[in-house]
Amino acid sequence: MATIAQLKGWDSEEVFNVDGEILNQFSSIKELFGNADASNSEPLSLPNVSAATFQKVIEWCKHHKDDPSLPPLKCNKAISEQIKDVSDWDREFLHVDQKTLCELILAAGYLGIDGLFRLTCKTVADMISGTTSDENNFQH
Amino acid sequence: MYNAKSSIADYSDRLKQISEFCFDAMFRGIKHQDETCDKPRSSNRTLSGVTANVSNEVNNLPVCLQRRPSSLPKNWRHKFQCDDARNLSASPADFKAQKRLSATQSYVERATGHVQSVPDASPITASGRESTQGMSTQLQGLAFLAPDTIALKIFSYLDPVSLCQASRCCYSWHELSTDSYLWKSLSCRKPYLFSPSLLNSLIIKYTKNDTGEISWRKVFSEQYRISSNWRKGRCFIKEFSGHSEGVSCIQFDDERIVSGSFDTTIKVWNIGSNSILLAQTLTGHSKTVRCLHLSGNRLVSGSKDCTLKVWEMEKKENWSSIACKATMIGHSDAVRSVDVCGERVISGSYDCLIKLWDIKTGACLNTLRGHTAPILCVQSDDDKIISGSADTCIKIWDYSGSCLQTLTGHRDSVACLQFDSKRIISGSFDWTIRVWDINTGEHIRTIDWRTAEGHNRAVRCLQADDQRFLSGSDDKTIKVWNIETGERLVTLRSTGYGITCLQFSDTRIVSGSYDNKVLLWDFTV
Repeated sequence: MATIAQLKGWDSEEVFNVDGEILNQFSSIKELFGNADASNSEPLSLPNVSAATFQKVIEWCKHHKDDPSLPPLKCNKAISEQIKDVSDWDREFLHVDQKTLCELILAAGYLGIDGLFRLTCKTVADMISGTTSDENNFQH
Repeated sequence: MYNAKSSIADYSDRLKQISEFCFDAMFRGIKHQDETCDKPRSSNRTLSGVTANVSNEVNNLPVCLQRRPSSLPKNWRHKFQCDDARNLSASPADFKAQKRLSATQSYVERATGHVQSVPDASPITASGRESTQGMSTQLQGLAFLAPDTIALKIFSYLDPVSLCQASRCCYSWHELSTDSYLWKSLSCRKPYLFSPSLLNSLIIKYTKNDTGEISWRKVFSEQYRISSNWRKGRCFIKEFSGHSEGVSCIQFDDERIVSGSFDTTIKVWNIGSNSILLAQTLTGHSKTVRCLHLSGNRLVSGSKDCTLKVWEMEKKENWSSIACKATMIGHSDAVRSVDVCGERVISGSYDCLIKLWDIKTGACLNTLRGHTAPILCVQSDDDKIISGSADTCIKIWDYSGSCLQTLTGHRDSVACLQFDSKRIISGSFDWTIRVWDINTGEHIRTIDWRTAEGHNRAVRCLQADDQRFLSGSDDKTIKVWNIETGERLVTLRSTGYGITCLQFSDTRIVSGSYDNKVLLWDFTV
């Protein structure tokens, strides 16, 4: 698919060419581009996303481009029923240090990638619920 | 930032000094006691000097350090010793001071880190601290980096237990975790939602009058408590005694309990008090009162004397107009079961007939014939009547009087039944409870004592709501069942007598038994 948007992180001049399939997953900024031909326009700088993080985000989006769109969370069902287990690929993908994970959350939130946002938030939530007993031991 | 750090250093130094001193003093105090035992005379002088010194200094300490031994938790000493054993290398004073120091440090750093603008903050800066605090600090750093909305999102994936534990981590997490949004979504969610009606009543209870704000955390905790009480069978039991013979039927609403008895009377109890003085007695039937139906202020009773009576129960502050409004005569044997649907009364009797009555005039509208044995239970809704009989079948009727379907399967009299939009649940003297599909009449499930922890005597009564159903039996127990799976949730047992009748709401069960008593099981404790 042809490149329709050029984006770059806030911290470097490296330009990422983003094709339509991936751009469609960025629900918060995809409207900006519409049908415009991006090949001759200025690359757009994303204020909240660093280049390294953006690289990861694109990697995730490429892997998940065929996923069906997620249904909104229903308030009358348990969270655990609605969010499926993390796949092996995702687990490997999120096997990163805290800083990266954190930036991924921010990036996913900013770009409006629902799937990645849920995934990362869930990962952190699991970390919190997994370590609370240790924390409590520490506190006493 | 710089100032803050230097002041931390100051504070921590001071804290260290204080705690070191404190431990030192204690230590010396203990030593001296030992010494005084051994050779009291020689150490006399130093002892008094030191104690004076100690008491002087202790008075200057912050209040938190002046705890009397009695104010300490029971296991304090034990824990302290454990810690001590684990950290043999560090002296107790060092250890404690370090702990406090690091706690203070991390708190202040977190607080200052929070002020910084979000993207610039590197999430984990103090790598040196990781060794002492490990994961917890890292995670705190992580959540502090995130803006509140994202932190809330993360928290919304937590279960309540983790949420409570997280709230004990630090002040800012505490504030986040008390956010109304989190508790609201938890309260309305499946495993924690007990029932919509209970939720509504709790919302009303915890809405502040002046601001209209709902305290969702309290709503959640109360709902959680009630549902865990139900799960564990933890309840407060109140006895209402006043009948002179066994209680045969029961109804209740928010204010009162109405009980009918073999002693021919109906008693109306105030639900808040089990005093017999506050109970009213309705007399009129000449034999055992066998069935009751209470809806609003209207009570319908059926009796072994072949009649039904309609009572008006309205009560005002200075005038109570409780009276019998109508008597329906027509059955030729005991009226065993009654139900009210709108303006119609449906009664099932030992004379094998079901009769429809007009509630206002008391005239008989229709008679349904078909059963070959006494009818023990009837229930109706807008378009159908379902009856269970001693001839072991359940029949579904329409209002014109034709039998639509007959369900067979029980091996003894069908004593009680209840249906909703999906299923019919029936209890029988053959000790089993059966669940049927209401549309096809298919038998879905049998609950007996051999395979499903069922009752091991005749099942006398049952009632269902949309999640569970309760059954009471001659084996002296009340059992609570999951309506979807037929799994037994809890067994309640109190008296040494069989349960004859029961009714329940979200927070209470009222049951009657052969021992003349009405029991109120209150799950809001």
